[in-house]
Amino acid sequence: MSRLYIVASAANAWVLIALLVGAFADQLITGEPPCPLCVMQRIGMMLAAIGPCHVLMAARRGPLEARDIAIGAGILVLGSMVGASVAIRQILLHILPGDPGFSTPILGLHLYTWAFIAFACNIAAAGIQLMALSWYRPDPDARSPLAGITTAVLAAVIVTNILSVIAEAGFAWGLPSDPVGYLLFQGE
Amino acid sequence: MLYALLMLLTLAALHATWQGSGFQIPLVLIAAVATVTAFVSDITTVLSISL
Repeated sequence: MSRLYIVASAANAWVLIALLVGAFADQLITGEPPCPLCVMQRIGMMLAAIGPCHVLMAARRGPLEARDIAIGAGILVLGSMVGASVAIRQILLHILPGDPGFSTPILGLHLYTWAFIAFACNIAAAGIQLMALSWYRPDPDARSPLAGITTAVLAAVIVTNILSVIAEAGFAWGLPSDPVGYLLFQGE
Repeated sequence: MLYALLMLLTLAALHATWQGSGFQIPLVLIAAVATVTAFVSDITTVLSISL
Protein backbone atom coordinates (compact mmCIF):
# COMPACT_ATOMS: atom_id res chain seq x y z
CA MET A 1 0.00 0.00 0.00
CA SER A 2 2.99 2.31 0.57
CA ARG A 3 3.76 2.10 -3.16
CA LEU A 4 0.26 3.32 -4.02
CA TYR A 5 0.70 6.35 -1.77
CA ILE A 6 4.14 7.04 -3.26
CA VAL A 7 2.78 6.87 -6.84
CA ALA A 8 -0.22 9.04 -5.90
CA SER A 9 1.99 11.63 -4.19
CA ALA A 10 4.42 11.71 -7.13
CA ALA A 11 1.52 12.18 -9.57
CA ASN A 12 0.02 14.89 -7.36
CA ALA A 13 3.33 16.77 -7.07
CA TRP A 14 4.07 16.58 -10.80
CA VAL A 15 0.57 17.77 -11.74
CA LEU A 16 1.05 20.82 -9.47
CA ILE A 17 4.52 21.43 -10.94
CA ALA A 18 3.06 21.13 -14.46
CA LEU A 19 0.35 23.68 -13.59
CA LEU A 20 2.95 26.12 -12.21
CA VAL A 21 5.15 25.66 -15.30
CA GLY A 22 2.08 26.06 -17.54
CA ALA A 23 1.10 29.30 -15.80
CA PHE A 24 4.66 30.60 -16.19
CA ALA A 25 4.76 29.56 -19.86
CA ASP A 26 1.42 31.34 -20.42
CA GLN A 27 2.91 34.46 -18.81
CA LEU A 28 5.85 34.36 -21.24
CA ILE A 29 3.89 33.36 -24.36
CA THR A 30 1.00 35.82 -24.01
CA GLY A 31 3.20 38.55 -22.51
CA GLU A 32 0.71 39.05 -19.66
CA PRO A 33 2.45 39.37 -16.27
CA PRO A 34 0.49 37.84 -13.36
CA CYS A 35 -1.64 40.07 -11.11
CA PRO A 36 -1.28 39.92 -7.28
CA LEU A 37 -4.17 37.42 -7.01
CA CYS A 38 -2.58 35.19 -9.68
CA VAL A 39 0.73 35.26 -7.77
CA MET A 40 -1.03 34.32 -4.52
CA GLN A 41 -2.70 31.37 -6.28
CA ARG A 42 0.75 30.25 -7.43
CA ILE A 43 1.98 30.49 -3.83
CA GLY A 44 -1.01 28.37 -2.74
CA MET A 45 -0.04 25.80 -5.37
CA MET A 46 3.59 25.80 -4.20
CA LEU A 47 2.48 25.34 -0.58
CA ALA A 48 0.13 22.52 -1.61
CA ALA A 49 2.93 20.78 -3.54
CA ILE A 50 5.04 20.63 -0.36
CA GLY A 51 2.51 18.07 0.96
CA PRO A 52 3.18 15.32 -1.62
CA CYS A 53 6.90 16.21 -1.53
CA HIS A 54 6.82 15.55 2.23
CA VAL A 55 5.37 12.07 1.58
CA LEU A 56 7.99 11.36 -1.12
CA MET A 57 10.90 12.56 1.03
CA ALA A 58 9.65 10.53 4.02
CA ALA A 59 9.48 7.43 1.78
CA ARG A 60 13.06 8.08 0.65
CA ARG A 61 14.38 8.21 4.21
CA GLY A 62 12.68 5.02 5.46
CA PRO A 63 9.41 3.09 5.56
CA LEU A 64 6.47 5.41 4.88
CA GLU A 65 4.46 5.85 8.08
CA ALA A 66 0.78 6.79 8.28
CA ARG A 67 1.85 9.90 10.22
CA ASP A 68 3.82 11.20 7.21
CA ILE A 69 0.88 10.60 4.87
CA ALA A 70 -1.38 12.53 7.26
CA ILE A 71 1.11 15.43 7.48
CA GLY A 72 1.41 15.51 3.67
CA ALA A 73 -2.37 15.51 3.22
CA GLY A 74 -2.68 18.28 5.84
CA ILE A 75 -0.18 20.50 4.02
CA LEU A 76 -1.93 19.72 0.72
CA VAL A 77 -5.30 20.81 2.14
CA LEU A 78 -3.88 23.94 3.80
CA GLY A 79 -2.10 25.14 0.65
CA SER A 80 -5.17 24.33 -1.46
CA MET A 81 -7.45 26.25 0.91
CA VAL A 82 -5.19 29.32 0.64
CA GLY A 83 -5.11 29.09 -3.16
CA ALA A 84 -8.82 28.28 -3.54
CA SER A 85 -9.82 31.31 -1.43
CA VAL A 86 -7.84 33.59 -3.73
CA ALA A 87 -9.17 31.85 -6.87
CA ILE A 88 -12.79 32.24 -5.69
CA ARG A 89 -12.15 35.93 -5.02
CA GLN A 90 -10.81 36.38 -8.57
CA ILE A 91 -13.70 34.42 -10.13
CA LEU A 92 -16.20 36.62 -8.25
CA LEU A 93 -14.41 39.80 -9.38
CA HIS A 94 -15.15 38.87 -13.00
CA ILE A 95 -18.57 37.27 -12.59
CA LEU A 96 -20.63 40.17 -13.93
CA PRO A 97 -22.18 39.54 -17.38
CA GLY A 98 -20.07 41.09 -20.12
CA ASP A 99 -16.87 41.06 -18.07
CA PRO A 100 -14.13 39.62 -20.30
CA GLY A 101 -12.16 38.39 -17.26
CA PHE A 102 -8.43 38.72 -16.61
CA SER A 103 -5.95 37.35 -19.14
CA THR A 104 -6.52 35.06 -22.10
CA PRO A 105 -8.81 32.03 -21.51
CA ILE A 106 -7.37 28.55 -22.04
CA LEU A 107 -9.83 25.86 -23.26
CA GLY A 108 -12.66 28.26 -22.53
CA LEU A 109 -11.74 28.94 -18.90
CA HIS A 110 -9.47 31.54 -17.33
CA LEU A 111 -6.41 30.41 -15.41
CA TYR A 112 -7.97 31.31 -12.04
CA THR A 113 -10.97 29.07 -12.81
CA TRP A 114 -8.62 26.20 -13.72
CA ALA A 115 -6.69 26.93 -10.52
CA PHE A 116 -9.86 26.62 -8.44
CA ILE A 117 -10.69 23.28 -10.10
CA ALA A 118 -7.14 22.08 -9.33
CA PHE A 119 -7.38 23.17 -5.68
CA ALA A 120 -10.77 21.45 -5.28
CA CYS A 121 -9.33 18.23 -6.79
CA ASN A 122 -6.36 18.48 -4.38
CA ILE A 123 -8.66 18.70 -1.38
CA ALA A 124 -10.69 15.73 -2.65
CA ALA A 125 -7.46 13.74 -3.21
CA ALA A 126 -6.26 14.52 0.32
CA GLY A 127 -9.63 13.39 1.73
CA ILE A 128 -9.44 10.08 -0.15
CA GLN A 129 -5.82 9.54 0.98
CA LEU A 130 -6.78 10.15 4.61
CA MET A 131 -9.82 7.85 4.42
CA ALA A 132 -7.76 5.08 2.82
CA LEU A 133 -5.34 5.20 5.78
CA SER A 134 -7.74 2.86 7.58
CA TRP A 135 -6.43 0.03 5.33
CA TYR A 136 -2.82 1.22 5.39
CA ARG A 137 -0.01 -1.18 6.22
CA PRO A 138 3.58 0.17 5.87
CA ASP A 139 5.75 -1.64 3.35
CA PRO A 140 9.39 -1.54 4.61
CA ASP A 141 10.80 -2.07 1.10
CA ALA A 142 8.86 0.69 -0.65
CA ARG A 143 11.10 3.64 -1.53
CA SER A 144 10.59 6.78 -3.55
CA PRO A 145 13.23 7.14 -6.31
CA LEU A 146 11.64 10.33 -7.65
CA ALA A 147 11.64 12.23 -4.33
CA GLY A 148 14.88 14.15 -4.92
CA ILE A 149 14.19 15.18 -8.50
CA THR A 150 10.57 16.15 -7.74
CA THR A 151 11.57 18.38 -4.81
CA ALA A 152 14.47 19.87 -6.79
CA VAL A 153 12.23 20.72 -9.77
CA LEU A 154 9.64 22.29 -7.43
CA ALA A 155 12.43 24.37 -5.82
CA ALA A 156 13.60 25.47 -9.30
CA VAL A 157 10.04 26.49 -10.21
CA ILE A 158 9.74 28.53 -6.97
CA VAL A 159 13.10 30.26 -7.60
CA THR A 160 12.03 31.09 -11.19
CA ASN A 161 8.79 32.60 -9.88
CA ILE A 162 10.71 34.64 -7.26
CA LEU A 163 12.91 36.10 -10.02
CA SER A 164 9.84 36.76 -12.17
CA VAL A 165 7.95 38.57 -9.41
CA ILE A 166 11.03 40.68 -8.56
CA ALA A 167 11.29 41.63 -12.25
CA GLU A 168 7.59 42.47 -12.29
CA ALA A 169 7.47 44.50 -9.07
CA GLY A 170 10.86 46.20 -9.42
CA PHE A 171 11.74 47.79 -6.08
CA ALA A 172 8.09 48.31 -5.10
CA TRP A 173 6.60 46.48 -2.08
CA GLY A 174 3.48 45.25 -3.92
CA LEU A 175 2.40 44.52 -7.48
CA PRO A 176 0.16 46.68 -9.68
CA SER A 177 -3.40 45.28 -9.74
CA ASP A 178 -3.41 45.24 -13.55
CA PRO A 179 0.25 44.80 -14.55
CA VAL A 180 1.30 45.44 -18.14
CA GLY A 181 5.08 45.02 -17.94
CA TYR A 182 8.15 44.35 -15.84
CA LEU A 183 8.90 47.41 -13.67
CA LEU A 184 12.49 46.33 -12.92
CA PHE A 185 13.41 46.77 -16.59
CA GLN A 186 11.53 50.06 -16.86
CA GLY A 187 13.66 51.69 -14.15
CA GLU A 188 10.70 52.26 -11.80
CA MET B 1 9.08 42.38 -2.83
CA LEU B 2 6.18 41.19 -0.64
CA TYR B 3 5.37 38.31 -2.98
CA ALA B 4 9.04 37.42 -3.39
CA LEU B 5 9.28 37.18 0.42
CA LEU B 6 6.20 34.95 0.57
CA MET B 7 7.73 32.66 -2.07
CA LEU B 8 11.03 32.66 -0.15
CA LEU B 9 9.12 31.45 2.93
CA THR B 10 7.63 28.67 0.80
CA LEU B 11 11.09 27.80 -0.48
CA ALA B 12 12.38 27.67 3.11
CA ALA B 13 9.54 25.28 4.01
CA LEU B 14 10.46 23.10 1.02
CA HIS B 15 14.12 23.14 2.10
CA ALA B 16 13.06 21.98 5.58
CA THR B 17 11.01 19.21 3.91
CA TRP B 18 14.10 18.14 1.95
CA GLN B 19 16.16 17.98 5.14
CA GLY B 20 13.42 16.33 7.20
CA SER B 21 13.71 19.21 9.65
CA GLY B 22 11.24 19.85 12.46
CA PHE B 23 10.96 23.45 11.22
CA GLN B 24 8.93 22.29 8.22
CA ILE B 25 5.45 22.54 9.75
CA PRO B 26 6.05 25.93 11.47
CA LEU B 27 7.44 27.31 8.19
CA VAL B 28 4.46 26.01 6.19
CA LEU B 29 2.09 27.57 8.73
CA ILE B 30 3.96 30.91 8.70
CA ALA B 31 3.95 30.96 4.87
CA ALA B 32 0.21 30.13 4.77
CA VAL B 33 -0.70 32.76 7.39
CA ALA B 34 1.49 35.39 5.69
CA THR B 35 -0.14 34.67 2.31
CA VAL B 36 -3.63 34.85 3.80
CA THR B 37 -2.70 38.14 5.52
CA ALA B 38 -1.50 39.57 2.20
CA PHE B 39 -4.74 38.36 0.58
CA VAL B 40 -6.94 39.89 3.30
CA SER B 41 -5.00 43.13 2.99
CA ASP B 42 -5.66 43.03 -0.78
CA ILE B 43 -9.41 42.35 -0.52
CA THR B 44 -9.96 45.09 2.06
CA THR B 45 -8.60 47.64 -0.41
CA VAL B 46 -11.48 49.70 -1.76
CA LEU B 47 -12.37 48.72 -5.29
CA SER B 48 -13.27 51.31 -7.90
CA ILE B 49 -15.84 49.89 -10.30
CA SER B 50 -16.76 51.81 -13.42
CA LEU B 51 -20.09 50.87 -14.98
